[in-house]
Amino acid sequence: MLRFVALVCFVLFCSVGQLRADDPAPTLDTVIAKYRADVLLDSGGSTEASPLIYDAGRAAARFRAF
Amino acid sequence: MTLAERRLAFAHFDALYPTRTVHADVKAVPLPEALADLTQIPFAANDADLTLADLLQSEHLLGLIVVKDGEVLMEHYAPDHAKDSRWVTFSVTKSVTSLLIGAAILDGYIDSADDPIVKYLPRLAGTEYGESRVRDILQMASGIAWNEDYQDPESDVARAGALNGVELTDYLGQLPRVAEPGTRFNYNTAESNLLGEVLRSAIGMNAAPYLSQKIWQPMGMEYDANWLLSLPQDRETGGCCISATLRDYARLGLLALADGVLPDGTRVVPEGWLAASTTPSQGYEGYGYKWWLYGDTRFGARGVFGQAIFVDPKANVVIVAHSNGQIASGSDHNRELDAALLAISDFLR
Repeated sequence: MLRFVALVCFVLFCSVGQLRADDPAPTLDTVIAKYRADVLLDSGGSTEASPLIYDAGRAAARFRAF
Repeated sequence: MTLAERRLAFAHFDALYPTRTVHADVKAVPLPEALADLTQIPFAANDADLTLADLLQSEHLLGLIVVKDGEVLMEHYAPDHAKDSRWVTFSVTKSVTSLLIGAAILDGYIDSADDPIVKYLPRLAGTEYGESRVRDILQMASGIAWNEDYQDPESDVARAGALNGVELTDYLGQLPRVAEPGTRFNYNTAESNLLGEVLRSAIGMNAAPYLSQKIWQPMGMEYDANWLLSLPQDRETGGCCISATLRDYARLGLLALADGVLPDGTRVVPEGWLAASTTPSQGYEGYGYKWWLYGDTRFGARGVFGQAIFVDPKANVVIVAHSNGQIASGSDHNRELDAALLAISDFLR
């Protein structure tokens, strides 16, 4: 379960960031160092908001218009 | 997290999270090519008139493949993406789990989609959830109360959206019924994870090797895939996070297009399973057995950030996209992709 919590935290990170021009190009090693499951858990994430899947309202609105 | 970081993370999910390998066979079934120029197919999205060429140039699109009549018409990869690049596809996994439920029925592990789930998860005996049918949770229509509000820290999804195993069944077992089973669609993360529990309980093995045996190897996938695991028992997460290559997801779409019949004629799911899976549910006309329905027989598997397996039986077409959309859902990229999928499908009918 803890690993899934970390995953949710990870996806939250995914959702809030945007690329900044002055960021150095990331490497897989730097990504692992920042976002691997154990690292995220140590940073104290929560499962308050999981954008992993579509919520019903968004899904309904989106796919009626599809 | 920057887009560039996310790009690396989505391509190397198994470096960040525990996964179980879905083994491919040593001999892949070839996907013959009949390449065509589809780049000028027009579509409109985000108040702009676009062509497929515009979408292919987007930094948010990693890969797109179009297969018609079993032949690859178009295959596109971003410069840092390739035929052997796996990509995590999030809720596309739900549709794969649905296929595996069908396989388990054909194999006799599950008697019927009408079975109450308590038959496979006896810990739910005496609970409202226990009497919900396999079909109901395939359609996310258990009729059990569930609050999927991500902004509410007291919501069910905040408390239990990440649970699996005993913790999951114990949480779901104390929830009240608010509608008759099968009558009300209510998007519920936990029901997809519960479906994974039902699957594993029924087949008596982990989901990844079952996927390998039933689909990945006999379908002739080219590359191993992997499936996210969750603690405490290292279970595959029923609703999320298989990583696979673009071509192998195209083969999965071809299996769905063929009603679950393998290239050698072997049936993987019961006859009519895909038809049932893509019939509008009573609770929501846009959803079947964990497949999204787009009308006029078209259906698909979708995942956040713009992952898609799109199937159009009338055109005999499968389209797959790997994406790194701006946000999880509702992004400009998602709208462009949605419009492009329909436009390609219309063009090829």
